[in-house]
Amino acid sequence: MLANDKGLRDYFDELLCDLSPGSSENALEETTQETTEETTEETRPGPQSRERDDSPEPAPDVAVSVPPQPTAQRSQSKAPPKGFSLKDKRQNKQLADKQKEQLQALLSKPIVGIASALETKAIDAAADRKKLTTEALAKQINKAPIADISAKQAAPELHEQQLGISRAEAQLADQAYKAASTWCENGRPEWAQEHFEALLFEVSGLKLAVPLVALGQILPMEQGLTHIFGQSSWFMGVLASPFGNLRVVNTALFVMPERYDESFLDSAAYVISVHGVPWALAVDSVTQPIKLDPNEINWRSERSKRPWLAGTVKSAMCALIDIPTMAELLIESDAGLNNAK
Amino acid sequence: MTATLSKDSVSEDPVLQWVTFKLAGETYGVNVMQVQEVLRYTEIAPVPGAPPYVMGIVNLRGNVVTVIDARFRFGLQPGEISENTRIVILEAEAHVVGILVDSVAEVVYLKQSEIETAPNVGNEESARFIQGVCHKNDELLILIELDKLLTDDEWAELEAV
Repeated sequence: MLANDKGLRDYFDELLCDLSPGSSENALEETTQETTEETTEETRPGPQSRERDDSPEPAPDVAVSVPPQPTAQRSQSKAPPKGFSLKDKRQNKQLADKQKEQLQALLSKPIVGIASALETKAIDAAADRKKLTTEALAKQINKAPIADISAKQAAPELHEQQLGISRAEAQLADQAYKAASTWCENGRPEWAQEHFEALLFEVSGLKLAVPLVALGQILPMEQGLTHIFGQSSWFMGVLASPFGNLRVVNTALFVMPERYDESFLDSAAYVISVHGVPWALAVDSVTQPIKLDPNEINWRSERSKRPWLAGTVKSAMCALIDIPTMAELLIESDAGLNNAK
Repeated sequence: MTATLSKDSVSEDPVLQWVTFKLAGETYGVNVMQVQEVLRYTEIAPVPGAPPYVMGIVNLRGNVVTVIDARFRFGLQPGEISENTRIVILEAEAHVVGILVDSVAEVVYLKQSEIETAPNVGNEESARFIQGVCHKNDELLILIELDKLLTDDEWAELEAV
């Protein structure tokens, strides 16, 4: 109804009872007529009251019924009620016209303007969020390592996020292991202040113990390793596992290079993964874990050489590996996770 | 040069195509867009004075193409020629070059998200052109970035062959 000017005019005309000549009956006049008729009705006594009332009936009033008359005659014959004088109606009409103009101005305003303001706000908010996200990622990412340019062009954000996530994880693990590999003033590592459990395993005839803290899973090397060229000699290869691709360390070569026997490459049957990092130690066999008393271990005081060697277990006559320190060394040595190319 | 993207690959995780080949028991992959063709093994004419990683040259429809020994380049043990041996003609850094491989396998589709960073715990120069690794079809693929297969000086040296 409000879609066009005519409809708008009609709406307000109907609402405010326009008095232009020739117009149809207006509601106010009808209300006036009804008021008059009601007054007439009230003065006429009903039949019930006549029956009940025993007193002599008063003289019947003459019902004055005024037949409907043309508007002009009615307006001449009766004074309009308060508020509905000609002057008031003119004022109301002016007010209505003003309101019409305001409504038209409002309706003619493009809705896009309002939406674009909201959209701009939303876009700005999203841009701020994206900027924060990008800045946070940029802080995590040092520099891109070997990367396919085409892949970067195809999915730059995903590529950067992947690099950021893997580097961030490595950095977090590095920080965690840095804390765990701290040695206290009593000459023991942080993880060996109280009784702790250790796993015994064999590597090329040598028995080794590792604390269960920071160990991940024990996996068989059934599928074999994927050898990657250009790596250090103690890097055996990559093992695909349900927990991801594990970088396997040649434990025999890493721990005792002076006594290394290449037959270990054939005898190694299991890998013991290090918790939180994609690294694992290749071993020949694994035995049950044992509980160790820190007092039963000869702790190394000088660890400048072979910092991953914590001490010797007297009861088992085996070497105890400081896995957190070893993990820290592996993380630092892996340029693929940390350094840029 | 961009890899081929599949239709349903939104820019969020594009699917890339890789040509895979075998070398010393391991499977490697190169960007399909950089592979021109695959030739059966043909006689390779050695070039005196060429770098040690250059096996020689072949005649490809009137064009001279230099063939690189991939095993030597990757630091692998030398292998023997078999009926599966192929010469993969590649285009990298605006150069056309061939590499000798044990066999060519297939073209695989890999999502960008499936490619992981490769370990790098050595000082060998050869590790610089390993782009990443990807576990596919119960084996680990080693993805090669051909543009870094040779340095700029080595590419220039190859041109002179």
